[in-house]
Amino acid sequence: MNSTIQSVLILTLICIFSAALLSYTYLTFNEKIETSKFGTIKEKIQMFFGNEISLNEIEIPSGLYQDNEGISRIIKVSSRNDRIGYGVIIDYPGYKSIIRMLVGVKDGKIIGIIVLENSETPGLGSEITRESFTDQFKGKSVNFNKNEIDTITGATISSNAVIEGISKYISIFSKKIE
Amino acid sequence: MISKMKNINNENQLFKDFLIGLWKENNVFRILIGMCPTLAITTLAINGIFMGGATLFVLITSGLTISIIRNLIPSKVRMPVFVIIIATYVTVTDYFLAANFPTIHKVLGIFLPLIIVNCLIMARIEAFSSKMPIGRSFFDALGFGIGFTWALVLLGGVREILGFGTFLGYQVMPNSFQPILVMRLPTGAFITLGLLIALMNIIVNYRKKN
Repeated sequence: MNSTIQSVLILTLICIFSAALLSYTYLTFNEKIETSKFGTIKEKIQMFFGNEISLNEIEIPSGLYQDNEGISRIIKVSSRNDRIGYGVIIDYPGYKSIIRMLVGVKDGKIIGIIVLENSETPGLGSEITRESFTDQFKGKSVNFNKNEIDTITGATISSNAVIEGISKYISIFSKKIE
Repeated sequence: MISKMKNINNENQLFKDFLIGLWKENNVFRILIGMCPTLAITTLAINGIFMGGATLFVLITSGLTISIIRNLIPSKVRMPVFVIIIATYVTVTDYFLAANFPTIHKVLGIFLPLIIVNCLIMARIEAFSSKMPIGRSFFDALGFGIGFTWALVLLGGVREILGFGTFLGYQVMPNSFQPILVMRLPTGAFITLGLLIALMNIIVNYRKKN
């Protein structure tokens, strides 16, 4: 057989084999990889962006995390290779613990927030996890006015921590990333 | 009678092929190829096990694949063919480790994809798998893979014991032991490697004399 034709043929076959094997590998392992990288965060991000998404962690620009407050993770959310938004994890000191929150950001707006971890006073500060509080952030612009959000009675410091943390760091985030 | 002799020859040959990479042409201590990951990841013995294991897997799978199709590859395009096949199997390994051993995967980091350009693999394929039948290719790959692994575990083990006081995570040095910090760094890697190569040379020369 003509050497050139044979070369082309064998290379094509090898590439088909490689593509098939790699596709199979991706399908088999990707689910597990995303779970170990993102764990339960993925489920929470899916609540904001829907189920058909893929996540990529991106590097945080320097200076955005100091003294236990700031942006601790930035997760780019894509649907079919198009970036559709971000999940930003912000830490901010509350009444007696560091509050960790996840903010879904899309097109300059906050889709919603979830308070992930906190050890605030049970029954008082811990109420910041309630939807009645966190729903207030839905649809707000990334540069929202802090007065637009009502604090929780009996949990002033904890609520203000959430409001201040998100207000401060989401506007920084949108300036630096978007 | 003749076929029996042929079979014995075959087994001998396969065993010889296996032994070469294990000791005589051990890539870390004797012929010194594929040294980049050797120095970088051997801070702990466990890293050696996983890196060696990953390299062993790639050696066997790519060696066998190429040995099977060796007569179909025109010489002109053999390099692209080898690289595509090696890269595919390395990627499979990378994904497998990322899914099942995420902490180790993070530690090995970029050196996992770098297995693709590890001279050891290309050398064995070019010199052996692309020209030999699958039986011999398998044992050659097995020998070099295990040879690489034990060398990495030895180097990593020495560095871990002296640099951390542990081996495979278990405390082996007494509490009063002050870890030799330089062992955790590339400097320590070079020094340890040099001394181990010298030791291997002494052993080889001693065996030659006797």
